Amino acid sequence: MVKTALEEFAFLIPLLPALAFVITFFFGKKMPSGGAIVPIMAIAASFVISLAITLGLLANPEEVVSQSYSWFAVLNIGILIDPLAAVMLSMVSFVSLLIHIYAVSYMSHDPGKPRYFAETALFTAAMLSLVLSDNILQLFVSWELVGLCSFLLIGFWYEKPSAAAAAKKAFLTTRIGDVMFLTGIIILTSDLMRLAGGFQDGTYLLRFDEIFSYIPQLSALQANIFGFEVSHLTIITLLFFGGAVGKSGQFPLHVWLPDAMEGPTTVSALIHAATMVTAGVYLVARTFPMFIAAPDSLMVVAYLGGFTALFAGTMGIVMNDLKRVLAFSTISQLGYMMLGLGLGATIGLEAVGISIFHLINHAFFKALLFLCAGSIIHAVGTQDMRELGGLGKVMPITAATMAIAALALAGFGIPGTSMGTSGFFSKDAIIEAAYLFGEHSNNWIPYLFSIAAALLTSVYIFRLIFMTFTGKPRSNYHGHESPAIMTIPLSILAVFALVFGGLTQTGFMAFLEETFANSFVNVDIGSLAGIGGNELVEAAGHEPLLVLWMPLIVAVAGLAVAFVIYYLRMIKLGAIASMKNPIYRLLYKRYYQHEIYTEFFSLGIVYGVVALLTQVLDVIVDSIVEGIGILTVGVSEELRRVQTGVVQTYAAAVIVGVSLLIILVKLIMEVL
Amino acid sequence: MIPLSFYLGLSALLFSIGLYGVMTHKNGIRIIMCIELMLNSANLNLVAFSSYTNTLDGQVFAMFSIALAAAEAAVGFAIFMAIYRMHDKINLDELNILRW
Amino acid sequence: MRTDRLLAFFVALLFTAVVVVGAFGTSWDTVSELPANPADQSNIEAIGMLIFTQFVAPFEVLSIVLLASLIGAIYMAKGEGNQ
Repeated sequence: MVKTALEEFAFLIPLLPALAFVITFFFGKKMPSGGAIVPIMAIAASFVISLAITLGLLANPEEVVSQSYSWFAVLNIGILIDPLAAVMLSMVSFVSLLIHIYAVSYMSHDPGKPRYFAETALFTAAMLSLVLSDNILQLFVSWELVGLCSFLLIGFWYEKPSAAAAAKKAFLTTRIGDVMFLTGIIILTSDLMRLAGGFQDGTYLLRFDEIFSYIPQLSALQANIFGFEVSHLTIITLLFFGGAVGKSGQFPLHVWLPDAMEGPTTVSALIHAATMVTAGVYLVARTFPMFIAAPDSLMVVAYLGGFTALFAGTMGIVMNDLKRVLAFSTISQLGYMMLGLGLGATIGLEAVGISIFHLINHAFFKALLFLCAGSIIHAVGTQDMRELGGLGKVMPITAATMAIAALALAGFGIPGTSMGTSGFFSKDAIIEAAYLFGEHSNNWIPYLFSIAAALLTSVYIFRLIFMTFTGKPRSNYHGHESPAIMTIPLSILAVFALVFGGLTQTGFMAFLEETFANSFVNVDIGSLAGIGGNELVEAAGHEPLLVLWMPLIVAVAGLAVAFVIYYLRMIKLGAIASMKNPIYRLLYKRYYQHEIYTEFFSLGIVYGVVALLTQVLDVIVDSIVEGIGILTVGVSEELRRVQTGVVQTYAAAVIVGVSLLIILVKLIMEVL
Repeated sequence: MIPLSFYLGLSALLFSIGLYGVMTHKNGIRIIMCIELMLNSANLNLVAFSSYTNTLDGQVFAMFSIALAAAEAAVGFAIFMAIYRMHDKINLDELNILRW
Repeated sequence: MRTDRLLAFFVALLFTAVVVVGAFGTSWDTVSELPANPADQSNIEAIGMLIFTQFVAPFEVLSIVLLASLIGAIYMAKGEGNQ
């Protein structure tokens, strides 16, 4: 009975932060500390409701919360809280809550506080509503809202040209993905219309259960593209994945994420941990039955994810900006999540479990890393690691929590036991799944990608730790430990980064595997995988010992490399890390993406073509416009004499007009 | 008996006379009188149709329209009085400030 | 002046022609005969009944319109200065 009462409050989860947005936006100036208390209370309430519903679901995973209301025609709006959505809701509201509390102190000197808190509240509301959508269209609407909020927040300091440019870049880059996502929805809708035979009352066409029930028919529809026979389902899922690539910063649309650092650090933490980049992973996980039934789609997901994990890692090791290292780390970890989902081609539903598990763990330690970075920036005022050093003595709590986060990110833990950091359990699960995939299909590329990326992860994060916290200060700064309101969220997150994975390891996976078998949707992943031509194998457990230990070995190796180079300073980096070294230059310039994307593609091709077209059009349009102008002036000079100002003339004109009109109509009717 | 078309023809004739008056006269008072004539030709139509379809709605409407005509005439003459007070004339062809 | 009158005459003639042709050229769907006894056609009473039953709302609105136009006409005709 308690549970049914809770369901009644489910709609409040996104609504409360949205209300907080309105209140803070309009009345925040009159409240103490920019009205921060309103979003904090609202998000705390959302968190409590989410957590209560999650606990209810844990006891009884079959009974998901599902409420649908007709919107128009065959579309609906509704709420769906199944295990997948429940854990996401709890994580998003929890991490967002901590970040909001932290931001009270972090943003205390900023005059734009009300705007900041209003926008982050809306950001959270949009993400929460995205997560609990029960149909693809509502999800898309929230998806766009998330994009809008990220634009507003990245460009929060819009007086800075670089922030404005970064905001624009983020918006435009994710927009490419959004267009693909929308195209996918449109194709899906038209296909479903055809399959369902037009509009039918009582069915909600774009609700997930309805979509999933049409998967076999969708898969049977074939389209011919450039001579290849492609299933409609593959096209739709790849377009959805295109949207996820944009939102989750996968290669090649990852370029916006490092630049998104221009916003306040707390915004970066929100974007990277809780509210934005996880949306893409969530989308793929949510539509996983479609992906697994579509041939080749999961392969694309796996390869792109694995490649992104490695690619972003290589750039992470040369960055000197504290936040940029973390940004590339996020891209890399998102690559892992996508890889995990893509491995569903072999391990089936377990893929959703390990991927979302990694997502949740990543949210904890990445939020922690960013908040620590924010704490450093707040205290010291610089984020260039070359100018830092020796901060460990000045900021012990920050240093300790950040070290924990780094351990979690690198994935330290002892295989075979439940001893280890959160990142260890989830990342290892993905790497083991990649091994299983390699063993099964004799295709070792995803495994190699993931192992290499794990090594790089360890190198770049410990490089960051050693450069920042050990050694002597490399510039004059006056650091101090941050106030308690900042360090308490850090400590809470550190605890979660340390133990969450170990505590929930097995239960979490089992819980998430209930996502697609309950009172709302009940799909047989095995048979769907058959449609997609994916062979599932039994769960892991019989890998060689070396495979189990491999992630830890590379993590320790990475730590050792970083220790030798950046702590002991045994190797002089001057020769390697200089602009003369082509590899270093390539990495430091981020593979010249900026040059390729912005200067060559955007400025060179697009701008050039547009400029040329503009010149040609200018001449044509100009002459047309001027011709029309001259003609109009000439004609109206004559026509204005008609306006005599005498009422009788007008009356006569009306009567003549009406008479002629009647005659004309009569004539036309006679002729016809 | 007289066919309906004859009533309509009479009404058209009345309307045209009113129209001709509106177009040729200059004095505002006369023009309003002509407009009343046109209005009453429409009333004639209403009553004629009402009789020939054996329903009374049209005649009720004619009553309403006569009442509205009274209101319109009252406002119209008041406007002309105001104009006369301002310009000392009510010849409409000289009141052409709406012109180009 | 003469051309104006002539023009007005032709406009009025054109309109008359159009309406008369329209009126005579249409087959009106009407009752074929009026009641033979003109005394039966005294329908003032029936109109009164209609006004106060079916058309009572328009009738009330009309009274307000008349009142408004009356006030407006008096206000405008009275002018600013003369009390």
